[in-house]
Amino acid sequence: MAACEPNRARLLCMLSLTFGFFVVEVVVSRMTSSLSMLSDSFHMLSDVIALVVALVAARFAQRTTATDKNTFGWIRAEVMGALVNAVFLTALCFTVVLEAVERFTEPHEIESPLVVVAVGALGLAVNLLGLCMFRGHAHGGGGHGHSHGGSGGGKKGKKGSKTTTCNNTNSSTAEEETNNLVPGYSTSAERRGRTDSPHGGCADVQINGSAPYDDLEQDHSHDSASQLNMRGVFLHVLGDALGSVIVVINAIIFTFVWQPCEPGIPCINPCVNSHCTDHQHINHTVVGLQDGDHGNHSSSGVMPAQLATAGPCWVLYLDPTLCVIMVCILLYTTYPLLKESALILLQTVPKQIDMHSLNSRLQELEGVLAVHELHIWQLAGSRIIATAHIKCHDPATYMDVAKRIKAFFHDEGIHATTIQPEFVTVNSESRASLCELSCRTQCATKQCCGSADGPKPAEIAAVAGQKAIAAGNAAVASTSAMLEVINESLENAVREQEGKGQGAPRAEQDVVITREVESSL
Amino acid sequence: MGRYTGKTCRLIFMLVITVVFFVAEIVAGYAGNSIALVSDSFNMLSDMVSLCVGLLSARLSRRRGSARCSYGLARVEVVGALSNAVFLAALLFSISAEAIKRLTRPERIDDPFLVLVVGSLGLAVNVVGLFIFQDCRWMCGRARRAAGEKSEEKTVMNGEAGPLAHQAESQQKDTNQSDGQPLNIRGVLLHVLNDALGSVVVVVASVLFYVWPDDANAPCNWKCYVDPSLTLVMVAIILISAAPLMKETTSILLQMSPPDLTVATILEDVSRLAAVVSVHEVHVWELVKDRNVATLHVKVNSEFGKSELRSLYAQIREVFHKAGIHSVTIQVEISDDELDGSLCSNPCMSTGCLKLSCCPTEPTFASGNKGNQSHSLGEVSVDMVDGTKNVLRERDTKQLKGKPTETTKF
Repeated sequence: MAACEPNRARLLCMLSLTFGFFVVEVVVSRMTSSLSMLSDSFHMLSDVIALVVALVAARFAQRTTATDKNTFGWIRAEVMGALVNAVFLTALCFTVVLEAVERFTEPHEIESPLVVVAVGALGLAVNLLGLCMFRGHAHGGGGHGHSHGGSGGGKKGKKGSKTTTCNNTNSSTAEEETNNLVPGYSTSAERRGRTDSPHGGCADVQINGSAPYDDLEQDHSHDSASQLNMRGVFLHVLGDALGSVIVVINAIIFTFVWQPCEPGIPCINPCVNSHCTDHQHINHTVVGLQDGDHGNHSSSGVMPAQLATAGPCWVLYLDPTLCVIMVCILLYTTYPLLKESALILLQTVPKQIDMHSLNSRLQELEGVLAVHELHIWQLAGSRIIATAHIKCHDPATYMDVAKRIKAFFHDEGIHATTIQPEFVTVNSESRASLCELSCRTQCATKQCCGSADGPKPAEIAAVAGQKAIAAGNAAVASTSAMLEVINESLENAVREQEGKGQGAPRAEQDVVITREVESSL
Repeated sequence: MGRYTGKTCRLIFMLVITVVFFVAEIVAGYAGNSIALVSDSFNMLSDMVSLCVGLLSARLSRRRGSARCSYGLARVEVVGALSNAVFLAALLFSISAEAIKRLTRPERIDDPFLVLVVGSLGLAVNVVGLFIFQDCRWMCGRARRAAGEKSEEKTVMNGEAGPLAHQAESQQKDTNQSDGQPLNIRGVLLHVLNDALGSVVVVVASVLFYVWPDDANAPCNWKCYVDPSLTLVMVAIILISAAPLMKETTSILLQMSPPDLTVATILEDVSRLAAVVSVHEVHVWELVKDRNVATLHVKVNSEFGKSELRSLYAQIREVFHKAGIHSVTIQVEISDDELDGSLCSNPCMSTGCLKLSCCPTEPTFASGNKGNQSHSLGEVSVDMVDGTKNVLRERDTKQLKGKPTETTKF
């Protein structure tokens, strides 16, 4: 898909750059046998891993069609990629902190700082390039609902604006739409018919059928889903960039400030703790020596002790300190991404939707008696899915109610809903919110939400061969009143099966049964 | 379930042991000025982090549904297990980086005796942990199997087939599935295993140095390569052990259909029911293991009344129940449209919503009465206009009258 191409191109480009640089750093580290270079190269490798994860996720997420293995398509892959990258980054920060703590207790000098500066600067350049590439996704958010915000990249931007026009008008005239549109996919035909409608511009776009409009919409909804993925990559690259900055700063300061122990001249290094030295003793001598020694390579003649000392100790502590600061910055910026992707994967209600108010407004719709088992969750990006059980009066008017409900959800930004109608036999408000049909009682723990709605054994419609089931349920329910009631309902249901079209007597019996059930509860 | 409290207790116990050992190692490390001790204590620290994640997810997952999480927080265990697995992978990555550095510049162990002692203690703690997390499984499994047998006896005594056998069956299924540990325990177990194997490597390497001591100034011989190479082997072992856990959590989080079910078979069973004209928009997914959720749209013709609907629901639920899916939401579409059984009679408001729905270009599943047909939007419009007249009857027909013949051109 067109929307994904820029993302994937960027990912591939950055991947090859980073991997190439990793190889360069490994080679250089072997040549100079510099350990710090090798460890920096592993930072690059972690970047490579993050990019690979993001690329795999992006590739998967393009397949949005349902398959037998995954009835939702693979669009969630990008959210997962984002979470994996965020956790990976957090774990790397953790190991960096541990290394820094070790460095505090045992500081290392940098060998060949100039090489380190050179390679570090090059790494920084690569990372800055990566930051620029992924910057568009840095501060993006998740689901937009109806407000189609701008998207990164010029091409996408144009398409985005087209979509904005179309869908803004759509959302403002949603009411009109419910009346105008033929339910179903005839909308393009209808719209072409209405030449004077405000949707004229949109119609042109939509009419040519699947292809261009598909691209537009797919761009948009894909965009917000892939934003999370790109944010994960951006954070990794940011972490690496900060790491390179620290390496460069450290190496530069080291080159200019640190006075190493020259080979051949006897000298001690007071900054590296050894078991034998007394700290206080060393500090005294170091303090005494600092003034005279600054900028001088030669150490003889000026100092009371015969030994040279290596230069200011704070330089060695600079590296771990900066690392800790970098970790704090990274964790602060990673936390929102972690939270957002985790909330989507936890099947929570998207933050822009208020369940209580939605529930109450849904119940106010005409024809809706009660709502229960309402679930709303986010698949990825702006694809929100809802399921609900709605109690209505009778099937004849049901399809209207269904349209209204769909329109209601559409206004909330939820376009994939499954509404299960349940028809009341008695207009009893007290039981209006209880589920008429659920799986058997022993399935309660295996249902999605335990036993939130008490199942009503008596109301499970009898199919031939379900007598045993009722008896089983009675054992669970364990009241004799229930047994009678259930037997009654079974007989009635069997009679229902045999003689359809018995109106009044059947209704009476239903009424009797339900009242019995009520009293026994 | 009793299993949950047992799990939390184990996690807390292991956490306490790990904290105690961590503090002891850190104090000993700084007092004795040994870097080996300090770095081993950091292993314990990472164990603690994973235990905290496991504990948090075990606690949170018991929460019921609320306004922010309509499904409750059941998924926390899965996300926690995935986080633990990824965290472990990152640790393994940095460990292998260290090992490779050691291979290029080998160092000898300075104080093999101290390292040996610390390593053995760490190994002991981790082996205790492994036993703690393994142990209950067998006990719980045995208890549940016993319960399953009892209910089977009841079945025989009452002489009833059907649902009680079902019950026993489902309990048996329960047993089989609970033999696999709950996901977050598996995540923690992997961390403990990582630590244990690391301690094994440390013990082996330090034993080598202890038994065959080197001169301090002699160059590093083969013994110095033992530690890093064994470490790399250990990393490979743990990555392989972590793969099944990652696969399972991934398949749940990606909303994949449960691995032991074939959606197509279920659909065929549903579409074979007498009242069903066609089935579409079927989704089956796992909330967590053993808790499956399904939604589908079913088309019926307009002669349906309440009781027929109820019996239809019951039949459909029966099909899903047999497949192990106990939370089903069935959207009934009453339509006399014979032409396009596979298309939704009650979709969202416009074509624009198609892309914002869950699965934009979904292939239609086999409906019992109609063949598979995939339409482009153009074709679709023709059929639907003709076919949805019945549904339109209540609607405001003014708009329709305004558009005479153009609609039928497409």
